[in-house]
Amino acid sequence: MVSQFNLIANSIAQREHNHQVISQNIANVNTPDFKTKGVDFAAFLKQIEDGSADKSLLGPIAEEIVKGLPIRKDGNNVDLDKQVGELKKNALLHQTYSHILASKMAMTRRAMNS
Amino acid sequence: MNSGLSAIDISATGLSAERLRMEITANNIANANTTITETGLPFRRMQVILGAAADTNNGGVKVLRVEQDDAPLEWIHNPGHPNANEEGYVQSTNVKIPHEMVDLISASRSYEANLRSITLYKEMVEQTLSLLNGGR
Repeated sequence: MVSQFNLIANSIAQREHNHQVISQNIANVNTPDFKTKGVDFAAFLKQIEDGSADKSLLGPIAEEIVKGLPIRKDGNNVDLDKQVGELKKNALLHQTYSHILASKMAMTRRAMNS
Repeated sequence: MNSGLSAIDISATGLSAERLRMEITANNIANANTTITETGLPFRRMQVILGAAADTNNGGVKVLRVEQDDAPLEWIHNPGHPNANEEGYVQSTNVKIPHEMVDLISASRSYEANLRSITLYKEMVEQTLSLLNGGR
């Protein structure tokens, strides 16, 4: 069993990785034949539920090409608005995890002081 | 985890690529009426070809090359021009101002998006660093 500290820290690390993937999409918004990549957390959660992934180690999830997006004439399928939205969503989730970690630390400190 | 570049470096490659696109577009607009260059031919529109840095997973974007647009040059009727031929036509550039303006806007918007990515990343790092201060 991994401590909650580790679990939250891993979640934060995952958000950072997701930020990299989205930044890569935005940097390549005008690259011909570039395909949008994404990290599929839902699929990973499913793997945990079947037991095919180890839930004690929430490591980085490999990015894969997002399917079903309309492709532009130059072969690129990056939707800039969507990616910027994803970026903001990701940053908010990161903030959430940071807050959880901070309150967890505050709780530990309270327990030590009393 | 650390495949390729960090988030700021990825966005930075995007920033420099979009900036180059803007510079090349500005050069095209500046030369929209250049009928003669060092080669003796009218100016040809230049375009930037971008490619994803494929050697790593998240390596950002890179400029593959800056190449000439091979679209046909235009003939403009202007008999008084020193470069006009016997029929009074001058061979002019293949730069189309509306096309360049659209490119300029698209480069500018992409630049902003990359910049926003850097700003958000900065906020995320600051948030994490504030944990050292006890959080919040």
